[in-house]
Amino acid sequence: MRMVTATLRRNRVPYLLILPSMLAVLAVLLVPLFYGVGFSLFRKTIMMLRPEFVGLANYVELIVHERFFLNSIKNSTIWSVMVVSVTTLISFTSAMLLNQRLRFRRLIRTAILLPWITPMVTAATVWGLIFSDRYGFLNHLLGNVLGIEYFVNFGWLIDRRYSLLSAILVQIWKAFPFFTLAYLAALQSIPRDFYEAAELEGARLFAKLRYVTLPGIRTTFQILVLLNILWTFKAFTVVYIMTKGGPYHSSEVVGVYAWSMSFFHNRPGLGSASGVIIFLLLLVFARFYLRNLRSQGQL
Amino acid sequence: MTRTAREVLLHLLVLAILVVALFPIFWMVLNSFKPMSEIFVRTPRVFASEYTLDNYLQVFTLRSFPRNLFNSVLVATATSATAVPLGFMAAYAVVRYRFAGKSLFLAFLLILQMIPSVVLISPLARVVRFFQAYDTYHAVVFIEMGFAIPICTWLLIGFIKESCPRELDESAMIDGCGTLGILLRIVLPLARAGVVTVFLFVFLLSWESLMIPLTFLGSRSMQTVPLVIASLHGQGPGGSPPWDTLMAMAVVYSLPIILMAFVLQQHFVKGLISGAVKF
Repeated sequence: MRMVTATLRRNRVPYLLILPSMLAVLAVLLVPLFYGVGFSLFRKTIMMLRPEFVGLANYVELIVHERFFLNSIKNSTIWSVMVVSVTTLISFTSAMLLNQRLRFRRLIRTAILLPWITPMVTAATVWGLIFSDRYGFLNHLLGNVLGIEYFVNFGWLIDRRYSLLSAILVQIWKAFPFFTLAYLAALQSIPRDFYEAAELEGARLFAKLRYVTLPGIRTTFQILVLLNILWTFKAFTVVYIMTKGGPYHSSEVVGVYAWSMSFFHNRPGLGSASGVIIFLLLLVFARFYLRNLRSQGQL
Repeated sequence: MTRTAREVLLHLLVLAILVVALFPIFWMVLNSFKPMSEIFVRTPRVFASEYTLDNYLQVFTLRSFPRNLFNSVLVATATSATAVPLGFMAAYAVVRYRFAGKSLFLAFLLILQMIPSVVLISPLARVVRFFQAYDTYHAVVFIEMGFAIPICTWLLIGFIKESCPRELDESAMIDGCGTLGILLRIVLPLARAGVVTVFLFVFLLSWESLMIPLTFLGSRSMQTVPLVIASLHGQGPGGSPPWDTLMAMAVVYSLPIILMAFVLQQHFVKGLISGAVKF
């Protein structure tokens, strides 16, 4: 009997240790999540005193009647595909370059981190000035210095055709250092002997890339791409600061759409419904991510 | 290609990457010292003929900026100071104990990080209204803390695993040291670098957080700096944002943080990368 009590007491300790975090997480994340799903089944406008249960009507309204919901999903898809693919490409290339023998290698690695540790709000602000149609350095450089007529007064942020693209560029700028260093760490974990063996077999640059480097970083690669998707899809800050989703919804990603539905247009039902849709989409990727970690024995 | 040509090419490419990475920050700092007449021009020169501190004076005299800066410091510090101890306890439990539901707890922490905050924000708004906590520090800090705990715990798990040999706390336990004593006297000192890194990471998350304060802080005197920056961007219908003030404000807001991150960067990067890639 005493032994049982002793084991129980021993076993109580880990639960006591995780209890405070669990409570906080329940209060801030889990309960609101269920409430959010619940909210998405109700309709409330400013004119109404209490919300009315409407079932899935909000979802139907979003997909069938709301003009800008599908538009925001489209923007978010372009946003995520572009950000993730270009970031991956740039980061991988930079990591390959930084993995070479370089002068000031340590210094360069430190310096390249700068965009990543710059707060989002700051990045969006300074790029806002650089992209400014009238006072921007980019238009000055392309239009006046390089003499490309097209870029004089080019509306990076105020032209519907380019506003999303400009925000994408900022997000890429912000994200690439982290992934560069992560790829660099993966590259450095490949044993040097593998390359030497490949060279003995007569492998040239591309053969080494294809048969040594890529297999060596495969799992890291998959995990980083999934992580990047998960971080990118729900983005809010860059777009909110730079364009507020405009002009005329052209850069409105779904995070910004959902937020402004709830707090700007006062339609929490529609806002929550679009939030739930984002979450469900992300869960699909989260599943792959979890499976990946599990197959590595990390969970 | 000869060896030298290849080396030159390599260095040029790396230089190009560095220029793209560093130019915007350089541009921000430079422009924060330029007079209005050098910023609001169609042909902005890189270096101005004169520099001034006017923009900084404007930032600190206009509006309620000192108060906003204080708010940011307070909210971010309080978020770290609450999330890190809670995460630390949970992380220790995960590293040292076997218990039923452990892997569920871990998967849970991962999934929770994926909930987009927009799903939670309307229900949270309802809760905040219920407690009449709109426009208060504690509402924002509590919510930020909840959002930070999952990632904070994940990162600390890695750090504790790496830095504290099991034998040490086992022998402490034999010497009659309680769990809390072990945590504070053995694990904490050993995992110090990791704890500091995570503290700074959570601080940064909360420091740059926009959506939560935007939703829960309304009055000017309660706003954090990102909200002030956001509202300055929207000023003047069709007009240009006040870039001169904005640049100086952005420098004041972000340079201390950037410097702090650089000082800690070695632990920072290593911990976060191993945290993200191979837990």
